[in-house]
Amino acid sequence: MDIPVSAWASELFTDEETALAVRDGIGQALVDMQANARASQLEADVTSTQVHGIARYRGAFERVSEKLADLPGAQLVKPNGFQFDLVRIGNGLLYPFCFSKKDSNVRAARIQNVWSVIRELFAFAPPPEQADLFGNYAFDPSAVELRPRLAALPEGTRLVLVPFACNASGLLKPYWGVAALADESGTLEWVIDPEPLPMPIAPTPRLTIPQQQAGHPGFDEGEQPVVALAPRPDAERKLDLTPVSEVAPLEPLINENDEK
Amino acid sequence: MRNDHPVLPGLEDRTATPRAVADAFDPARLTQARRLAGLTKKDVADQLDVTPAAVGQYETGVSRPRPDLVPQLAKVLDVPVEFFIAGRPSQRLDSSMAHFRSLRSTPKAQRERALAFAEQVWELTYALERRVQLPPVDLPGFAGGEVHPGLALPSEPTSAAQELRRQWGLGNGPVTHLVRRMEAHGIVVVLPAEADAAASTVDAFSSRSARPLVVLTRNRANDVFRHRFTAAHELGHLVLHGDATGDSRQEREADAFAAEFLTPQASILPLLPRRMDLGHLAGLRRTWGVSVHSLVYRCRELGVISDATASRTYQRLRALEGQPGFAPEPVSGYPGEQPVLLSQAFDLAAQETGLGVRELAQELAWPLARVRELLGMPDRRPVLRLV
Repeated sequence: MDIPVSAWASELFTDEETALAVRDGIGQALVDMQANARASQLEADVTSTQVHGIARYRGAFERVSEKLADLPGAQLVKPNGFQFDLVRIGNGLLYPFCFSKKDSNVRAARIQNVWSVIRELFAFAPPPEQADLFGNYAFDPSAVELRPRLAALPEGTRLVLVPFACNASGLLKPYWGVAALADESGTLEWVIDPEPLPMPIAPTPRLTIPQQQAGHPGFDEGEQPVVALAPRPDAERKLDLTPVSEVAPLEPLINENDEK
Repeated sequence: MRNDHPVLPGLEDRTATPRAVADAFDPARLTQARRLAGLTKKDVADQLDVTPAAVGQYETGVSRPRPDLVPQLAKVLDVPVEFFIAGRPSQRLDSSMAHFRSLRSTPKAQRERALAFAEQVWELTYALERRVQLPPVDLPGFAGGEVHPGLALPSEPTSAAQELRRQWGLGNGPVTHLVRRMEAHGIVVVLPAEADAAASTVDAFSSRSARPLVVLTRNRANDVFRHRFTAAHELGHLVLHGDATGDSRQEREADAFAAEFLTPQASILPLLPRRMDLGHLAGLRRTWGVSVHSLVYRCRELGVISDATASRTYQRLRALEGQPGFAPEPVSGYPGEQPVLLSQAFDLAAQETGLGVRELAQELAWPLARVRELLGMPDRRPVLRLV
């Protein structure tokens, strides 16, 4: 049931194989982000969903960059003054962001806060098509002054937006596409319509077992290992998929047989 | 006329009729229930007023019990009639798939009973695993329900223990919270209630299927130190031995594994006293979580003392039996040595999917008490420890 990757993505991320790896990597990263954020929320045992929000915000950048960093040709870019690494692969520069806490129309997604770094990122997006009455653009990418690390990006770099709807109750719907920033209030004009990203059914399993410290604590002292349990995704339960009890061995992305 | 016991829609009695059960009768379920009840075919036959051969035929599927016998069978074997209906997920274990400690002293009937017990643990685990993602099995060489000895870990027990310690990040000190650690690595550990005769007839055993299982019985002395050694011994079987052959070599290897896993030679040798200072050994017991008896054994094994000294020390130990520092310590005082995986998985499933004990019992077609027992629910009494 492989969903083919769009032509624009293959072109932007070098080739179809890389584009597929990027797309699937983002899907996995966001599923991991959501699993971690929900687990944090659950552990926090508080009524506010702030815990989920923080874990989600940081997780979106950290999981995506971690997941994609080892792909061939991936480059991590940390704009000056920005806390996180963004990933550039081929000519695509990825920017993940949560556009809604509800399952709403992604075409209506907006950038919540157009601050300096975000504005500069849109210098790598196409210009908006609609000029105002006087022929001026509300946002003109070519007029943006870039901070050094963004200025150093190769010509042809294109911003790929990864908007996702997400909440603490388990909603996660990610997309990707290319959009222009229409104005400073964050309105987007989609140039390449946002496409849903396929997601894996389960987060990457994690072994949260503390390593023992050197030295000799008593056999009943120290942190108890955590028995990592997580609810199975609804979809898996409904389809009654056989539970997976082992971690699939890691396979290299490329092996010699691929050249046959 | 008005019914005195009105039943809300959806809560009607869902008991299957004996005829329906007889139609869908699963012979293997009869064998399982009989073994769990610890009865022979003749025992069952006598209570049903049929011949033992007839019971044999029900179990092989040559013939089916008459519908009127089904409720009697259920009563005799203490299961709901639905227990015998075919089609529920199950796992058949044979004796090559399970290691029994002190095998030679384990009669066949008791082994079969324990195997049936393990099958039930598998069914419970599977039912929970359909709702909750359990920790992935992280046991080197264990893939697809099979052990591949000598690949991920050396097949020599001492080296295997050292390598597993390395892979599990245990450093060079005592293994803390051993049972919880095994669970965290995806092994299902069960400590049946004292009253559960099905399992307590064998010392302890481990089994492999999609998820490795270790059943630790409450040993007679109820001693955490012996309990930990048994857990490490079963862990040794899981990583060292594919098929259980039942020979004493496998048992010796599992013991050697346990000794090195709990007290690695490189760490313990410099700490062992050259003269048998029992006070010093009692101190080591507290830190390393192994009995003084096994420390004396280790001293002899590592050549620190002679056989004669070891014998004399065992005699001195017998004189100290029951003294503080030498008395058994109940497992209940050590939360990290008690399994929680199944009960926590149930709690999460209850929270996330609204699963109740009753629903689970119905799905498994077990008596309610059985589900509670395997989930460790009845044993919540506080334990008074005098220290």
